[in-house]
Amino acid sequence: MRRTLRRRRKDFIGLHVSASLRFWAAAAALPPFFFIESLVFKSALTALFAVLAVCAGKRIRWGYFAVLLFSIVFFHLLIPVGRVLAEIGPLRITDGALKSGLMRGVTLIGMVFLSVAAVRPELELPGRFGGLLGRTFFHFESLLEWRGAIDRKDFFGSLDRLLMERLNPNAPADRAAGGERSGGEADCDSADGRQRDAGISSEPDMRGGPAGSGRLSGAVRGRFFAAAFTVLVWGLWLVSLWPPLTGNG
Amino acid sequence: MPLPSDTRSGRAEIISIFGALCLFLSAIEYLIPKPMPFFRLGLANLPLLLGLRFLSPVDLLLVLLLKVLGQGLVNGTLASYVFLFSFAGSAASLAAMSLVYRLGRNSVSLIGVSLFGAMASSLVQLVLAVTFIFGSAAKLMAPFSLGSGLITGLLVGWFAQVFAERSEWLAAVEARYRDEAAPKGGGEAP
Repeated sequence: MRRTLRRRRKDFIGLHVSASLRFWAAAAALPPFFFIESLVFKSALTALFAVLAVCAGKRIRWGYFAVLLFSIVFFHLLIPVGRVLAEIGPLRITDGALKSGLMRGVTLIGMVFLSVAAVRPELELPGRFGGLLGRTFFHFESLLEWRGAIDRKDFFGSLDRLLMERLNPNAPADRAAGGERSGGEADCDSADGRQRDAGISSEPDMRGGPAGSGRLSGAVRGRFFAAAFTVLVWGLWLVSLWPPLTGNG
Repeated sequence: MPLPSDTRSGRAEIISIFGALCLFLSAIEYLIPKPMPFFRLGLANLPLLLGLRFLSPVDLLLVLLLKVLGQGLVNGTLASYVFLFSFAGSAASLAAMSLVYRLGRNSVSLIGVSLFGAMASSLVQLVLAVTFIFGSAAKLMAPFSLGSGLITGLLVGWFAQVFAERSEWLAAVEARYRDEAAPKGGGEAP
């Protein structure tokens, strides 16, 4: 298959925040994001997460998310709830169903944006299973380097040859003896098409860890960014509870 | 059979190779044009289908976890509903395929096994979609969801059948795995 050459997108967040820190910061931000009941605040946070996803080097396919939001709202509108706002043919647009559909759609999309901004392939899981996952990524990258060898006209044959060449468990140990998780030398532009499942695509720079992560200033800066982000999300949730904004004041 | 203690042992190596193949096929799948944006072929399930022939249930489960966690990390969807859908669909598919494969060992082809797996995955994902995303009106999607599951199940099953018959690599991996899994004094592999 043709090797597509696309310019790598830079992961600006990765320059300052390590993979594990950004994961935990996002995990800490998820509960308040869920708790927010104001559509405006939730949409604002979703927009913030989208910006972070772009800063993380992800290319967001806006059309995909527009279709997703539209279909979620549409299916909610099929069951009328509350005051009728408008009628389009047989479809009655009710405020309850509209708000409920929008809330659910924005929540799900926000989660995806937050997740793609926060989760990096370099994120290492602890224990024996983490080691197994590291070996899996090593073999995966080894295959991706050679994916050009896959021939559409002889798919089975070419795949079998590639696997015999790269992942033969009976081959001498030198080829199989790689790192636990590839770091600086990985062929990183190999991700074309990898991140489209949730309407995201990217050519991630897998050179893991923040620049200067060994230096104290870099680590402190990363922690500051992560803490500021978490405080911002929790703060927005608290503000959204303010009675005048909830309509109870 | 517990988790391998040495991540570079033969058994662990084969498990990680199968996990990597899941991720690789998932990447390859995105290069294939799709008739609709939500349509997925499910090529990443192929290693699980092929592994049914010789991998132990624990090792199949490990490959499943490597597949869904690996995809979640690569795609960045680990902390989103996409991961939940992927995990539930893959787990249901593996459970159904294992059951059908074990019950009909000599009478059901890989195409039939794959078909059951795809239908189980589609059903579970439909239930999740109704529960968490679209609401009860999403039941209207059932014919489309199950219909696409039928087509993809047949395609992936056919793919697995052809690959299992022709692949030298699979034969080599299977021989190595049985060798690793066999007790030192001889005996039968799982």
